Amino acid sequence: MTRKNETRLIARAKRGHDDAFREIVEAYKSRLFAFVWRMLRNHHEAEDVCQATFVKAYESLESYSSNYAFSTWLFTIAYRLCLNHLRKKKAYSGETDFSGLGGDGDVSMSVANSEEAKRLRRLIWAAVDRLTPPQKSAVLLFYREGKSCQDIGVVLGIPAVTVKSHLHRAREKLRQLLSAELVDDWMAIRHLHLSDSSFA
Amino acid sequence: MTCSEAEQFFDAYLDGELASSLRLEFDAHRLRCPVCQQKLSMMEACEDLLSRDARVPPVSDDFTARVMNKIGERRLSLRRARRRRLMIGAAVALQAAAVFVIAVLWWGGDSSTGDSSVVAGANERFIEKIDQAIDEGDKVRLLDLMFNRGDQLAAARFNLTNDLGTLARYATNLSVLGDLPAASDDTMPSPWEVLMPVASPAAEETEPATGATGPFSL
Repeated sequence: MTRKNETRLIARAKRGHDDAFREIVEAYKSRLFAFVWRMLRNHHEAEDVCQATFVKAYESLESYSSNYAFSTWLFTIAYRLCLNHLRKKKAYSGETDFSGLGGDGDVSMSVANSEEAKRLRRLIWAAVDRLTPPQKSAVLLFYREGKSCQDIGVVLGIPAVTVKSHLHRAREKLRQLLSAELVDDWMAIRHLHLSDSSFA
Repeated sequence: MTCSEAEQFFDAYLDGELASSLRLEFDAHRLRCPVCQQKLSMMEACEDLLSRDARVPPVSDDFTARVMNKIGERRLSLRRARRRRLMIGAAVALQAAAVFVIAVLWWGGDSSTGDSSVVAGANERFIEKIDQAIDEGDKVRLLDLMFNRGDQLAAARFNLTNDLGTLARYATNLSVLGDLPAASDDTMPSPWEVLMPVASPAAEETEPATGATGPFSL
């Protein structure tokens, strides 16, 4: 959706045209759901939070400022609702609901479906799930959504410098977690490297 | 460059923000250090997966319809709530108006009353005028009259209390069984006629002491 088209739809939705808001929902639901699902890791809860996000956005449409991208504003609402949801759940178990996962039709995905790739993917996402909600959001918005630190700061309600700090700590934590998980692989690689050099 | 020095530049390297002056040094270390090489490969794989992995369960087909239905419901409930608030506000305003009108009619109808400060001022001026108009002798006579009137009121209150006490004694001493036969007597006087001597000392004096002639004998 182009920015111009988006602005036109928002203006129409503000005037009470439901069809315009329906188009907005259609345009953003997948991106928003992906973000919320990765935060909550539960299909049903993620849909509920996404629905609440769109309803909230519709009701607060008058307060939307075009100084920011609409997606940034939408993610801001979603992030806050995710935090509320996680607080309500209290125990953030990190259990993953992969029941709805598909994606085998994608050729690149089928190539990447080797046991090693699956294991690495599982380890990485498990490590991401162990990040704190702000770190996880920063990582997802940075890598998935391609948002700048400035925009992520708007979503998380923190300065851009703090976002950088969150990203740095998240990477550090991921490095530690993955290093611990992949230590056997590393030892094997190192052993292989040393044996190669000894042969040389 | 050591491993710990190289690790400090990992973020900048991964973000493509490493200064060109450091880039060559960093690359040289990376090429000869398998540990740093593995760490960077791991982080690159991690970032690549985070940015490309599209394995997200699909949103339900009826998601948009559900959102729009929810918005419709919310809008309806908001309208109802607004209408309810308006009705409550109107009712409160009507009640307040009614109270105001009643108050105006009530207080406005009595011309002797008004603003309390104005009334108090008028009373003070009236007392001052009386004070100036009446001489000392009249004042003394007026005060005597007031005290006499007070004494008379106290005596009347005392007599009334006595009379009520007597009446209570009569009432507690009524003989119900003795009264029953007389109840059929057409000539039975009314209770007021029986009580008249009690209420009126003069009448009591005219009656003889044996005057328990009525059915309500003591």
